[in-house]
Amino acid sequence: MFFVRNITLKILLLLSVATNAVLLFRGNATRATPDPIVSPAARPIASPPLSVAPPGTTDPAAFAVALRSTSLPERLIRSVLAAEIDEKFRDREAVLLPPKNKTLEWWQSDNTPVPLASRLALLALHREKSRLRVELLGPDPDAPDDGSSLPPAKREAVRLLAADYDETVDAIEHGGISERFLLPAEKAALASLKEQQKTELAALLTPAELADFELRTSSITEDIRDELHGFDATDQEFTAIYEFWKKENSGGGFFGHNLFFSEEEIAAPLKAILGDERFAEFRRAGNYEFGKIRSLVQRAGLPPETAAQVYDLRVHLEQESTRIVDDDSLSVAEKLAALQKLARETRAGIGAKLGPDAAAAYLPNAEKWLSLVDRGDGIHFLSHGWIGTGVSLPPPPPAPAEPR
Amino acid sequence: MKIPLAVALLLSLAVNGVLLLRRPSPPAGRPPPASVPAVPVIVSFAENPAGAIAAAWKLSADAGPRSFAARLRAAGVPERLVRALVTAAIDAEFRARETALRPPPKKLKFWQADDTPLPFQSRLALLDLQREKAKLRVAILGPDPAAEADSTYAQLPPEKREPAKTIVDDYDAMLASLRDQSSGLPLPSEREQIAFLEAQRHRDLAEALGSDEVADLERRTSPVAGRVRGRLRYFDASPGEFRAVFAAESAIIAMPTTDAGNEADVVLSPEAAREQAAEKARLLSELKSSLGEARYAEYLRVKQYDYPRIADLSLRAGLPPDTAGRVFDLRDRIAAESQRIAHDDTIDADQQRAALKTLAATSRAQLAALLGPEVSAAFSSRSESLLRELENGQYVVFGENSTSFQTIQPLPAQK
Repeated sequence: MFFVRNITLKILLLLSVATNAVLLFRGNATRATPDPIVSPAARPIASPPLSVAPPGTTDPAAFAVALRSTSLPERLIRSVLAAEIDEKFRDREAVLLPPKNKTLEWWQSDNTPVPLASRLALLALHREKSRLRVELLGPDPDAPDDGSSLPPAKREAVRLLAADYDETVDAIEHGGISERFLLPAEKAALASLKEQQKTELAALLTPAELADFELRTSSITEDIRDELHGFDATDQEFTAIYEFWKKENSGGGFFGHNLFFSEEEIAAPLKAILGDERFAEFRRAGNYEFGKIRSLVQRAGLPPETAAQVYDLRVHLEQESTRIVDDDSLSVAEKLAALQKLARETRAGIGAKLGPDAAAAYLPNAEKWLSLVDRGDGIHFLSHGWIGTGVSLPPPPPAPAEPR
Repeated sequence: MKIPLAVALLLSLAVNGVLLLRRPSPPAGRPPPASVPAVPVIVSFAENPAGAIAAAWKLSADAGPRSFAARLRAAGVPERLVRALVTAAIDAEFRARETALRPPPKKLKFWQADDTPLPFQSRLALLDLQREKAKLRVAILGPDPAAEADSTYAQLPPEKREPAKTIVDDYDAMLASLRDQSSGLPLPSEREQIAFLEAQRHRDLAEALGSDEVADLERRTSPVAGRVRGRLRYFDASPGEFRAVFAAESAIIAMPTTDAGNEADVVLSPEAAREQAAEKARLLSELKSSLGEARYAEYLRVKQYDYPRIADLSLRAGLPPDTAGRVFDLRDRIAAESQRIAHDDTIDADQQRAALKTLAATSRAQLAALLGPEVSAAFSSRSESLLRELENGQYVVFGENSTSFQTIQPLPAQK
């Protein structure tokens, strides 16, 4: 019996010692193994070239090579390189800017000006930084496709070039102040910057690329894009409008000119190219009020042609109100009655075309001119859709005094 | 000495217990955030920066940005790079959901604009995503240094600054976009959407902050505060003065506009317009009492269109800070003198014209002496338009709210 007990104890002791060994081994193994969430052991990790100096003080180019030799996604590589480049330039940028006034309360503004020389030095620094970004980061994968035919790297270089110059020009021209008074040195600097930007652009692009870039970014193209609501010019129409405007434009832009609204003879060549119908659409599309009506119609989910119908009611009101005021065959009372009827009919027409929701949005605004017609005014709309002085009726003769 | 088997077994079992209870200790260095388990360092940033980042990414590829941040920090990656990398990782995680909420980009010619309106439900969903993203970013990265540096949020405890700034920025961007889209003609449904977002903004702020903090922050971030701040740029307002101007201007701005040439919401009846004018006068009178005569006069002056332009110009040219005030003093003297000449019954019209010409010449010389040749040249586009009118026999009147030198009246008919 004692023998059997002794054997059992020996077996238990052996089992316990074996358990000790297993536990001891497991404990060491646990310390050497990363946490199970990411199970790294199965994944080999590429050994990138060493870049031992701390980023921010090292050559970002070497760091970029090292990062790209790993399997790190490109977006992460770009983020870390962008942060590195920012860090590399931070101190040089900081010395060019006036120190931040930390004693200002939240409602106070820091009016300390940045000297012109510092602005220009900052531009030089930003150009250096942008060139490094293009070199190390390459094209931005998230940049919207603008349909440009430029190779992606050039597109990015051109984008950054425009952004750098725009920022500097805006800082000199405005600096948070609209219509800033410019010192002679600032005017000269702006003229010089324009030339400098042209030179840089010409060095970056081939002549054909440069011509295409100028076409896409010209103020005329911007006007066509921003102001011709829903005109949807075809290739031929765009070229015709662009070339015509380039020839005619004296720097005032679309709305600095009477092309859309009154001077028929100025626009005659364009009318000949577009044809009567498309020319009428072109003029209407450029009208500010039409743009607002079109947007309202679109948002209200109404048929697109509703916008033109409502706009035509407004044009009819203008023509008819002026005709009534000028009609010598009518007495003052008759004119007033006719104008009030016209205003009522226009209100009703707009309401019928737009339906209750869109009419509730438009009519209170339209009352600005409808109420004038109600009071006996002829209405004249100016180029941007604003109200003209109108043609007021003469005041009615005083009512005869009632006998006491 | 022989150890009895039973004792040896007991000892071994005790060792079993100790080994079972033993836990591995975390690696030395920066403690990880409480919600993330300790992570081992595979590659140290100090030894191999690119390798450390790549290893951290690889090992946390399936575990999300929180684990990525923990591994980057454990490897000793500098915090500014952790911020850049984790922000990019969070953006990547949300990109597909954000893209799904936006209408697919149209294939347009470069001279065409995409004006497809974004449905309100998509806007709300995008807003939710932005909020979710921001919460995750703050939870992993802590407060954003940009929010820390913004004096608008400086009164809040540090941990509340970024959440508050995110709420304000997200809602304000969404509201601005909605208002912009409505082109001054909001549909009834769009008015409701704007009201809903404004209420939601307030609710979210109330959740993140205390009620006093919300009221204060609403005041600081309101469009009226931005406008008043801009107007008082060269006024150097005390806290009390700012509060008084803010109170008056916010009440005036809330009034419906009656300018028929602008984006008027309503057309006021003549009676309502008179009431509005009276209320405005009362508010300004209260403001005058609050600021005092002299400061109220300064307030009216800094509000004028040209004042900040002259102040900005003279600062850039290194002239004394009171230059703008002195130019306005001169301007007012010219106006008063031109009126005196124009109404002087003791001289005839020719003499009046000659006196106005002399006034123009002396004023030009005074301005040049005050500003110097460079600043005078920069300012000449404005000053010359006034002085030339004087030379042409006109006199000038500036009203309380006039914004330029151009309110010039013709001389009365020759007596």
